[in-house]
Amino acid sequence: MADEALFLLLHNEMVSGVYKSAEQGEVENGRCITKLENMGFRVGQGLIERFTKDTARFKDELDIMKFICKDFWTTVFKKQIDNLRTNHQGIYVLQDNKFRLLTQMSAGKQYLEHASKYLAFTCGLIRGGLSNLGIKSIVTAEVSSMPACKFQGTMQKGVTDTPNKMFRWILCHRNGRLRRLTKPNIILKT
Amino acid sequence: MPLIPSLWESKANRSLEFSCLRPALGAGAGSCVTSGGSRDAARAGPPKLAVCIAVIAKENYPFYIRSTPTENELKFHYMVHTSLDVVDEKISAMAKALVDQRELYLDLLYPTEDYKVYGYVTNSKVKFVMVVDSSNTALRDNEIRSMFRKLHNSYTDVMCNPFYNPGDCIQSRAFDNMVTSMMIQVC
Repeated sequence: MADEALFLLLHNEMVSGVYKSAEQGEVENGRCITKLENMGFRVGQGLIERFTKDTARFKDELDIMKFICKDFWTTVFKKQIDNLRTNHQGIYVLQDNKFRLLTQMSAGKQYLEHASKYLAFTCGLIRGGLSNLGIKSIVTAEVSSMPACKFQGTMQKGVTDTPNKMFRWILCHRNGRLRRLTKPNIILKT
Repeated sequence: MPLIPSLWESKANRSLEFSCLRPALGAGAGSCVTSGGSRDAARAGPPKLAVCIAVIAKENYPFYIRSTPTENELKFHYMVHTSLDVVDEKISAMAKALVDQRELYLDLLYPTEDYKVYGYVTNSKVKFVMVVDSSNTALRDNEIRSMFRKLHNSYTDVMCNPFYNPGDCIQSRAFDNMVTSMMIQVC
C-alpha cells in the first residue's frame, strides 16, 4: 500500500537529513542518534495519546506492552511484533522478524553497520509511548541479521508511579492571610 | 484578585496567573452569548453545564484550570485539588477489584451541597475534573460523558501540536474555545 511507503521514505530522508546537517564530531559521539531518538520520543508521546483515546484502561505493565506489540505496531508498521519475551522483572524484548524500516535495505549482513541509525527513531517511539503511559524506560535495539531486529526495553520501577505520600496544602483564610498546613493524605500502596 | 501562593506547587503558579486573567475574557465573551439563550438551546450545541473544568497532569499539577468568574476561584481550585484523592482511590480500587471495569470515565467523585464533581482519567494518567452545579437537575450521565469525550479529543489535539511541549500549561486557543463552550456563561 502506498501509505506504508510514505512513512518509510520520509523516515529514510529524515535519517539522511540529520546526518547531512551534523556538525563536526557529532557523527562520532552519537549526537545524531540521540537527535533521532528524541524525535521519536516526541512523536511517540503524541501518537500514544491518540491511539489510547478509545481503548480500555490498561491493567498493568504487561497489558501496556501487549498493546504496544499488537495495536501500536500494527498501526505504525502494518504488522504485529512477532515475539514478546519478558523476565517479569521489568525487561521486555520485542522481536520483529521483518522490520519494515529495514526490509528495503538488505536481507542479510550487508549494511549492518548502518542499521542502528534506522532503528533510533523507533526506539524513541517506543520510549515516548511508554513514557506517556507512565512507564520510564530505556529502549535499545540490536540487529544480527537484517531485516530481523530486537528491541529491548528496561523499565525503571517506581520512578513515575504516583508518590506514596501526597502532602496537601490546605489554605485557610486567617486574617486575610493564607497559611499552609501539610498533612499526608492517602498513602497509596504501589 | 490578589495573586495567591499556589496551592499546588511552583509549576502551577503560571496557571493560577492564567486563571486570574481568564475571567476577564470569559465574562466579556459570555455577555454576548447569554443574550441569545433560547437560540443556544435551539442550536443544539453541547450543554453549558460546567462551573469549573480542570486538566491535571499525571504528576498531579494542573495543566489547565478554568472556573466561572463570579464565584471565589480559590474554592474551585481547592475542590479540584481534594478530588484528586478520590480519583486515586477509585483508580486503585479498580486495579484491585476483580470486576473488569475498564472504563475511562469515573463518574461522580463526590457531591457537596452546591456542587457535584465528576472525573475522567485517560490511559496516559491525565485527569479531567469537572465541577457542575447541583441545582442543574436536567443533567444526564450521557451529557457528562460526551463533555469528557470532547475534552479528551481536544487534549489529544493539543498533544499533537508541535508548539506544545508535553508538561507545559495548555495555552491553545482552540482548547480555550472548546472549554468556553462547555462552561456556564454568566453576564
